[in-house]
Amino acid sequence: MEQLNYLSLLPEIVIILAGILVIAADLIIDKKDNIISEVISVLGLIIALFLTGNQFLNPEIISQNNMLISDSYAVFFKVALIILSLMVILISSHHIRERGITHRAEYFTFILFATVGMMIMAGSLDLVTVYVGLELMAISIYILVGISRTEFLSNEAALKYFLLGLLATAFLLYGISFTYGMFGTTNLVVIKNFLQNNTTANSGYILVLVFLVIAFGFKVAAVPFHMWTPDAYEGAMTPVTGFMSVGPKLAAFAVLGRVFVYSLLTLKAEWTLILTIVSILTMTVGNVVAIAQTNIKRMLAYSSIAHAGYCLMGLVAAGGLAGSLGLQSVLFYLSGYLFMNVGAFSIIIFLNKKGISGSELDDFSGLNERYPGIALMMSVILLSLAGVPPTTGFAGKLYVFMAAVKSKYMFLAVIGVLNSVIALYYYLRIIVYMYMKKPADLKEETNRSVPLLLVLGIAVVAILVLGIYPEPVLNFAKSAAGGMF
Amino acid sequence: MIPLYYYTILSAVLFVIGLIGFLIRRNIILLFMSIEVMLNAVNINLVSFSSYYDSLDGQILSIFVMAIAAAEAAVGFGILIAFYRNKNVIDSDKADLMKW
Amino acid sequence: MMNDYTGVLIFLIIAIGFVAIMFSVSYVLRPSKPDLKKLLPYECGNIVNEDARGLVSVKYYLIAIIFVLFDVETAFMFPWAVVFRDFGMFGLIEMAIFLLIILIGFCYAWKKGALEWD
Repeated sequence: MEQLNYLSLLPEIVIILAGILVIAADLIIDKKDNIISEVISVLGLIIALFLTGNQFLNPEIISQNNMLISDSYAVFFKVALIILSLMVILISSHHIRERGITHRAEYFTFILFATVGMMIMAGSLDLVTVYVGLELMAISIYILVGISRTEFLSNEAALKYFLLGLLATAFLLYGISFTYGMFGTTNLVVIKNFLQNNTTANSGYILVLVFLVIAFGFKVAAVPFHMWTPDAYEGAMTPVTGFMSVGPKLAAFAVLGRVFVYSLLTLKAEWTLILTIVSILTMTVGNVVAIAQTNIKRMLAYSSIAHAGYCLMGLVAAGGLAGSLGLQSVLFYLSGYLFMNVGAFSIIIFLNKKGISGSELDDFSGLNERYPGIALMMSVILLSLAGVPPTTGFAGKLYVFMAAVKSKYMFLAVIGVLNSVIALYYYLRIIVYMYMKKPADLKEETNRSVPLLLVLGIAVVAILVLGIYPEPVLNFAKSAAGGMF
Repeated sequence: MIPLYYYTILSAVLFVIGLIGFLIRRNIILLFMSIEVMLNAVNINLVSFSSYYDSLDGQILSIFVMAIAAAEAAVGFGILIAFYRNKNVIDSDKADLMKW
Repeated sequence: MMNDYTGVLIFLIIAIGFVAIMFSVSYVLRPSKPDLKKLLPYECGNIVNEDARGLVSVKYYLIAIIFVLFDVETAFMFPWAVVFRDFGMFGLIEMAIFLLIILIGFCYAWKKGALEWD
C-alpha cells in the first residue's frame, strides 16, 4: 500500500479524466457541431504536458509496487507522445467533420486513451504494465482505424489490423508467461539483477526473446510482421494514420529499449543477432516495395516500415560498443520522425477532397502551381524523410549510422546508406510530380482550417530546427538514454 | 503432485492449436475463438507457474488477461458487425479491397 | 494403494457399468419399430420447427458483447471483495471510481442506441 504514489501518475490521470469528460460532455450537450470535445482534449493534454515536464525536474520516482517509473527516459517519450496527440487532435478537428464522422466524442476520447496507454508503456518497469498499456493503446487504435463505420476500406483496415494485433498480443503474452516462468517475476529490475548474478546460459531465454521480438515487431511494423501496415494505413482516416504511424512506434521502441537494453542487456549477444536480421530486412523491404506504390498513404506506410528499420539499427548499436550512444540516436531519430510523419499526413489532409482521400500520387501533380507554399513545405518534409541535410531526417540518420559504426556494425551502416539512396528515389518522385507535372484539376476544395496549417507550420519548423540545431533534444535524449545503462 | 512441465506441454499444445486455427480458418468468429484458445494457453502457463513459485503475480496477471481479452473481443465484434453490415459476410477472404 | 480417489474410481466404474447394463438390457428386450415421429429430437413435447445447427444473426453478438464486457468486470471485484476489510476506505473509493467509469461507458452505450436491436 505504501508503494502507491498517484502524484507520479498525475499526467496519465489528467488525460484519462479529460477523456471521460469528453464522453460525459457529449452525453449532456446536445448541440450539433460543438467543439467542446476538442477544447477539453487540448486543455487536458496541455496540463498533462506541464505535469510531465514537472516530473523531469523532480527526481525519478518508482511507484505502484515497482511497476512504473518516471525517469527521464520515460519523460522523453511521454513528452513526445503528448505533443503527437496534441498535433493529431488539431489536424483532425476539421477533417472529421468533412468526413461526416458521427461519433466525434468517441474519436477524441480514444485518441486520449491511446495516448495514456502509450505513456504507461513508456514508463513501465514491469511486463504487466507493459501489457496493460499496450492493450489500452491497441484497443483504442483498432476503434480509431474503424471509426468511419460506413466505409468499406475503413472496415477492412480495422479488421486486418485487429486480427493481426490480436495475434501479436497472444505472442506477447506467451512471451511474458515464459518470462514469469523463468524468472519467477515480471519486474524488469529484478530480471536484470537476476541475469547479472546468474550467468549460466539457458536456452529458454531465446524463446522469451523470440516471442517478445515478434510481439513488438508487429507494433513497430518490422518486416516479417509488417503485413497489416499498408492496408491499415490506407484504410484508416488520414489523421488516424498519422497517429498510428508514430504513436505505437514510439511506445514500442520505448519498451524495446527498456526491456532489451535495460533489462536483458546480459543477453545482448542473442538479441542483437535477431534484431540485426530484422533491421536489415525491414529497411530493405520497406524501401524497395515503397518504390512500387502509387498511393501516397501506402508509400508512407512502407517508408515508415523502413524508418523502423533504421531505428532497430540504432537499438542493435545500443547492444554493442556504442552503448548509450545507440539508444540516444534512436530517441533522437524518433523525435524527428514524429514531426516528419505528422507533417506529411497533414498535407494529405490538406489535399483531401470531399469523399475522396486525396492521397493518390496524381493528386500531387502540379501542386506548386496551385499552392506554392504547401508544395515547399511538402518538399522539406520529403527531403527530411529521405535524409537530406539540413533536416532532422539527415541528423537522425547520421547519428544512427555513427552509432552503428562505433559498435563495429559496419555492414549494417552500409546497408542503411544504400537504403537511403533507394529511398531518395521515391521521395524525389513526389517532388518531381509537384514541380514538373501539369496540375490535374484546378478547381477543388482543400481543407484550410487554421489548426491544420498551424500544425503543418510547427512540423516544418521543427524539422528544420532539429536538423540545424539538434543539441537541446540531443542532450535530452542523452540524459534519457544514459539512465538505461 | 503433477510435475510443472505437464502444464507447460498442455499450454504449448493449446497455443499451437490456437495458432493453427488462426492460420487456416476463414470465418472471423472462429479466428477470435482461436485467439481465445491461445490466451487460455497463456493463462494455464501463468497459473501453473504461479503455483510453482507460490506467488500470486501470475494469477493476477491471468485475471488481467481475461478482462482485457473480453474488452478486445467486444471491440472485435464491433468491427465485425460494421464489416458485416457493409458486406453481409464474415469471411476473412472477403476483406480483399487492398492488396500490396 | 487405497487413497482418496480410489473410491471415486470405483464409483465411476459402477456408474458406467450400471448405465451400460441397463441400456443393453432394454435394447435386447424392447420391440424396435421406429417411425418419423419417434425419431424426432425430444424438445419438452414441442414440435421441432427448425434445424438445431442454424446460424445466429450477427446482431445477436452486439448484445452478447455488451453482456460479456460488463460480466467480466466482476473478475476484478471478487479479489477486491475478498480483501475488502484490509483496504478500508481507500479500496472503497478505488472501486467506486472503477464502477463510475464503467457506468459512464454504459450510459454512453445506452444513449447512443447500442442496446437497440435494429
